[in-house]
Amino acid sequence: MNIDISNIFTTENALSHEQMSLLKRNLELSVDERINQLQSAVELIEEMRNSLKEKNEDKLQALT
Amino acid sequence: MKTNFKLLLNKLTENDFDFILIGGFAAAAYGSSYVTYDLDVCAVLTPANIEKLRSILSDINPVHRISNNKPSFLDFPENLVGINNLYLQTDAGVLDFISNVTGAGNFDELSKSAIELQIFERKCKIISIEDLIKSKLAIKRPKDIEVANELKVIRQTKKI
Repeated sequence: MNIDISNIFTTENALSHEQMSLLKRNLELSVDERINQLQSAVELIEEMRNSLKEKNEDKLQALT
Repeated sequence: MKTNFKLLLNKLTENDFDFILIGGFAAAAYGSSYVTYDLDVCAVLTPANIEKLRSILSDINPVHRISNNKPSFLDFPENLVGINNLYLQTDAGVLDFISNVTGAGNFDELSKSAIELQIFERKCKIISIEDLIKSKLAIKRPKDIEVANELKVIRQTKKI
């Protein structure tokens, strides 16, 4: 599916340049690429959450 | 190349680049329901550090994503003095470097309360939940305010 995004970048809006750049990139991704992007983000988030959980459990153990 | 945040993060940790993970990924790690699509880190952007970054990222085609013509980070800018932020797009995903986090401070200030985690078997520092809340509130965008409110609840319930 082709999405015309040219107007988004020429009209006034409340988004910063950084956000606009991200939005443009995301709109250019195919569905498969977007799914991959989400999976990669979730993989990192899961890894960070597990590590944080272990850290908190260690902290609790040290207190008891 | 597909988006690969693990590869992006590993490139920094494996090469001993000193940074603190901030932004949406840090918020999601603490439990925020918002998912992010760019890796934001706080670092000291000295000329030496920027040269090191060029070397670390050289094989994943880093470009300045905000500039219209997207110049390569490997060549531009030539003068590396006085750079505060870098907004990069690479083959593995979006990677932003911020030297001073609005509302929370610079790398040294964030370091005082940052938490060291093991991520993909490497040490990695993330911003404290307190500093993250401060930064989200300072940005004042609706989404950031919502994330800050979520983080406040998480801090209260989990006693982080």
